[in-house]
Amino acid sequence: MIPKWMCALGISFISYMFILFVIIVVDTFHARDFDFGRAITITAAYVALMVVYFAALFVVFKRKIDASK
Amino acid sequence: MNLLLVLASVFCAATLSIVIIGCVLSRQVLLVWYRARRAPSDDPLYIRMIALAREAGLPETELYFIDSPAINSFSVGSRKNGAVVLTTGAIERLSDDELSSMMIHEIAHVSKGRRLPEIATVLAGVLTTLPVAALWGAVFTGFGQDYDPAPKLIRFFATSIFAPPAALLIQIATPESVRYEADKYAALFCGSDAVIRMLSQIHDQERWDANPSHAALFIADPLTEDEIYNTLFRTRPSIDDRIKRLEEAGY
Repeated sequence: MIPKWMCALGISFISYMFILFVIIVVDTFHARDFDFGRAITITAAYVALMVVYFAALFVVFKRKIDASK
Repeated sequence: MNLLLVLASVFCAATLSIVIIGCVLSRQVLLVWYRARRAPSDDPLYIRMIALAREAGLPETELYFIDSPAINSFSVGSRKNGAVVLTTGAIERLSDDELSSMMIHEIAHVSKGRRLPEIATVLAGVLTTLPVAALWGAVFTGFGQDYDPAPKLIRFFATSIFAPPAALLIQIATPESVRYEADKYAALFCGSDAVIRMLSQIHDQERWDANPSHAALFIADPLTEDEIYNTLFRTRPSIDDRIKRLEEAGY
């Protein structure tokens, strides 16, 4: 069974991906054109940042929350 | 582009102000947040707390009360301007020695002079208030009432965004050993029986819906486990574990 804090992080990751969608929509409206290469660049940069961020969260929460049980 | 710059500047200025206020006025912010009332200098409980602190060789602190039926307490400030905050529920429902052990526990925290957890609590508290602001923002912009699914979904989305950084701040700033240390101090001075009875009373009560970021501040976790994001804010051992440790140590 997955611990609740891991589920919480999973849901947060999905929510942060929704922000990526909003960024791409705003960028597309701003440029008045959908540029696939640009969208891919934004996605890659954002996802890389999020993976590092969530990896840090995972490490800290695993150490701290598991220790508090 | 200019609008973006203005928005970014406003955001940076607001963030900086919150950080500065959090660092300088964390004690006052938390006391105001919980509408704590300062005990008068002739209050019998305050007099007792001062006597206990002197006897235990701990710093003298101010005493505050907050109106809540829950049994709980927290402390703020440093050795110079420390304050112990008790709920009215604790005063009404705990016996004299249980209340003494609770006060010694809190004064022991103050004596350590750790300001970082308190500052982190205030800053993270602002982050965990944003989902509530999002809920009311949704209500006032016509998404429905606060019990309707749409505002609730918006609040959940805001929680999923803001809770992880807030919890990270709390987890990094809160030392793991802090809870056992204060329990040990209280047990050495009041006897482990009183501390165990006090903890048991807290364990058996209904949970209190406090700001999740403030949970680390209280003597016992006031949060319910039903909310999935509350688990991220768990910083301390369970009450059962604390009682077990006290029984094993036999102070």
